[in-house]
Amino acid sequence: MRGVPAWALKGSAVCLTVLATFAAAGYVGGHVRDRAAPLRPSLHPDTGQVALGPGIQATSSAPVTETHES
Amino acid sequence: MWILARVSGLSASAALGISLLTGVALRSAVLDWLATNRAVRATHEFTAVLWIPLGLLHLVFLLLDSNVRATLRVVDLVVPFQSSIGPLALGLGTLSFDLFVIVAITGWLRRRINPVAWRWLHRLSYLACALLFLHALLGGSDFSSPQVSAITWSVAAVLAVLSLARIAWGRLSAGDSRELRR
Repeated sequence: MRGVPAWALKGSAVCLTVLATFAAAGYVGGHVRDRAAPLRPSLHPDTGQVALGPGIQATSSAPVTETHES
Repeated sequence: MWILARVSGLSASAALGISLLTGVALRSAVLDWLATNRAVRATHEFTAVLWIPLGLLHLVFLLLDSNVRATLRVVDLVVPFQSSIGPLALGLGTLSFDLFVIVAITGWLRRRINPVAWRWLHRLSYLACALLFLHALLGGSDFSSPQVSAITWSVAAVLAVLSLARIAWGRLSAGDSRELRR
């Protein structure tokens, strides 16, 4: 028996990889937020939404400037 | 970019699975019923065209992701266990990447390398695959899903059994494989 030719095996490998890519895209597209992934965007613990923290945080120290009104 | 990085990672794993299967089949004759060794070898060498670009895309997409870029440096993709987040999970992926680079480069330079040395260097791909599996498992992404987890564990189990059979019994001769098929 000669068996399956090399070009058919290569074609099958490409088809399987493309199929896996589409399947992965379908799955990942439906599961964008993954709580378990270490590199995923940080999520709010209650809502599960992506938590975007402000770049400048409010301080608890007393103000050091005064306005005309104060 | 986060989505593309995950998709390319998963598809690179699939292509690597095919590469490992055809590689093990070369020595264990498990695909003798399907094709000649020459065809399986040609396919095994061809799969590098699939998994190398997909693996590189996985890294490029991670670096292009604004959220990941804030915590992951380029050096973390080359030097393992240095990243500030998930050092073990990401470090295993980095180590696996380094080993695959060695396997790919020595694969291209096969004719210029001592055959025994080349064989041992090429066997690093078993270790690299195991590390890659642990990277995906500990990294968490998508492995928490039953669908992804079931498929990946099944493929990993088949590859592990074939690899262990290869280590335990070595290559089956054509006569042995014909006997097994009877």
